[in-house]
Amino acid sequence: MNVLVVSCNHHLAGVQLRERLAFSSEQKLQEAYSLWRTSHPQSELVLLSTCNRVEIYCADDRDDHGVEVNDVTSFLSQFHRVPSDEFTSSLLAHSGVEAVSHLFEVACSIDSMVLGEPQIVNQVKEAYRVAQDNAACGPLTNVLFQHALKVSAQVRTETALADGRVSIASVAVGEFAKSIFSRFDNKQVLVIGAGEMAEETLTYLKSEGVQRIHVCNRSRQRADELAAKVGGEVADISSLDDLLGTADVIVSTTGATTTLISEERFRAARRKSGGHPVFILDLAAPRDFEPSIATIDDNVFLYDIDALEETCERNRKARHAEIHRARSIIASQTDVFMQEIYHRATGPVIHRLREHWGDISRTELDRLYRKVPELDTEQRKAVEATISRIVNKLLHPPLEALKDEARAGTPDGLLSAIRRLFIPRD
Amino acid sequence: MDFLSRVQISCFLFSYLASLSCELWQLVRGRHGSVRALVLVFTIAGFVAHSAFLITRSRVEGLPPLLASQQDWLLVLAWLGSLFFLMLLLWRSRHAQGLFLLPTITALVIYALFVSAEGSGTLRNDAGRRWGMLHAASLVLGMASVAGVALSGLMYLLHHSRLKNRRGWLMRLTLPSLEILVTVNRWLVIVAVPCLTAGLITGFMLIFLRSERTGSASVPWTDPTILTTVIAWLAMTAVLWRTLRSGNRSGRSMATLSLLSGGLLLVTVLGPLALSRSSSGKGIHGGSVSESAAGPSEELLAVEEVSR
Repeated sequence: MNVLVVSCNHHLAGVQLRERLAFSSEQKLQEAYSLWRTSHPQSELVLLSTCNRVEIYCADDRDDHGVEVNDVTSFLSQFHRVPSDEFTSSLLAHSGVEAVSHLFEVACSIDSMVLGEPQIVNQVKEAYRVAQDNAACGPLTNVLFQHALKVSAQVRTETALADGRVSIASVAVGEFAKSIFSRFDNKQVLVIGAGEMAEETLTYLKSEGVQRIHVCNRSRQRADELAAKVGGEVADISSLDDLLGTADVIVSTTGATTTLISEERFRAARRKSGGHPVFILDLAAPRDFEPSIATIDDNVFLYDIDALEETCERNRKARHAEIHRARSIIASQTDVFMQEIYHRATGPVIHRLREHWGDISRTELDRLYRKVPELDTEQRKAVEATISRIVNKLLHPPLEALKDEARAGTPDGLLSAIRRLFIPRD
Repeated sequence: MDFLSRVQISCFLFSYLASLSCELWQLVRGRHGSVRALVLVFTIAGFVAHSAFLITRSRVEGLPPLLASQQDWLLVLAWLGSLFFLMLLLWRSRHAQGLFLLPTITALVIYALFVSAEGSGTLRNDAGRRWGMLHAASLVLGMASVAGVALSGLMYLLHHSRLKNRRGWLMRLTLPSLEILVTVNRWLVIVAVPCLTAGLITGFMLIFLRSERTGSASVPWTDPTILTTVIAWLAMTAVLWRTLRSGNRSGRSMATLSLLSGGLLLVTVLGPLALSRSSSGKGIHGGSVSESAAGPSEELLAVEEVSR
């Protein structure tokens, strides 16, 4: 059995190189699978292409003449029209057990840029599906990818590797906003500034059901763009004080160089509209909201970027503490998988050996019955049982040796010896 | 049936304690799916044993558990808490509500071990049972609601502090959102007030029926149970009044008030026992531990006689 992975990932390659080697659409993937089939018809292939990695998994059952790293780099070079010397030094290659373990680590998100992020398992699933659709999978890659998805589920269930959020926007919404409010469809959101961070936070808020969004920005054009993107409406900067009083969630990400909302200004805005709970996310640096606003009353919850980063860091540490447990699951599952594969490799030889010796027994028995036709049924049964016992006893030592060897890896040498010694060539 | 009769208080007490241990473990080591499953298993086991015990008690005494003895009354209160916790576990098992509910449930069960377990066995006719049930059921529901009000208030205050300060062990607590806690708190106050009111009215009615029989027209205001129930009722009415007036703007002060009123519940539950031990010996609900074991509550006996 040969399993090979060639990876161009965020550990070794920059985003520019990854972009050049990426299979960015399903159309490109189809073309790649088609090209691969013409050059390596006997080899199975799965292509995994995400923002952070381009990985090529090849597998075949042949003992020799399997796919090698050079074949893969030539394929990449030919397909993307990138000279191979521009990327070979940024590639990582594993074969056999290491390749299997690598896929399990990728599927479990141990190898991800953001440890424990949940998207990778779906990306692995999708890569496997596309490979199946393009008839590029075979018995080995089927078992390998199905096992990888199973290991990923086990790691997620049995460890806290994916627990807690680790990005500023997700922590802001998932850990703080949701700790204050139970539902968001009846909440009013005010966005001051229209930066990327605001957009990302709004994406999370929208996924929680937010419907009323007001975008307030100095540049009307940028406000229009963001409002259109998130389904909100643009508010004039002159209505900011009214909105400060009525909004339930305030996200501020302006590039202002001084404090935008002073304690007096916010207090005045709040006085007009009562003291309902308000969640303020000040994601600007320097801060848009004066820190003392947090003490105006018990229902004002103000968080700045440092407070959120602190939580992100704590969650990251908690996830890192789980790596050891996740790796131990992966190691044990890699062993289980390799055992299955090795037994699968020895299976056909054992079957052929038994079949061959069975054929010999039957032939010799037929000859005996022809020579001694007076043997009755009982006597024939006794002879057959004796022959069967002899065959089993003779087969026992080589089969046991095969089983023992298979525990340590594919017993290629022994398999070859058994074939040569006991099974005649066709 | 034989199996049911073998269930002891210790069976469900240890189940609840095991469940509480799992919750504490999660507080230290972080929330974990398999430990949450253990909490569910132990709580279900405890709840089943608890229910079996109350059913057996009811059969043996020929009375609903609420009327049989002080111990049964406390165990019914704990059973309601356990049922509520089980529902929460099935709904939102990721939250650490067990850290608040399980100590309350186990405390009630442990407390029940120290009060009289002997039932009266005399309230056999339908009229006495009906009035007694109405009185006891409305009071126990009211008390359970007040306990819920106090616990949700405590959870609110801790969660609020966690969100404001973002430091210390509180960060390990996974609690429902402030909005949910406020909503639950309000609904429990709204349930508690009518229940306590119904309990008080039926209680006074029972006293009135007894006074007709005995010829004395006075209400024993110094009776510990009457006194504490009236105080709890007044507190809850004040909380309800505040709730209705404040809208959604004073979560923290509401929670503080709720927690204080929960303290009154403690007085209501523990008070009668403590006071009756030191006073004349016979309270309106059966008096001291030993004496209450000797017979049924006086007002219920009075009703029984009236109905004859």
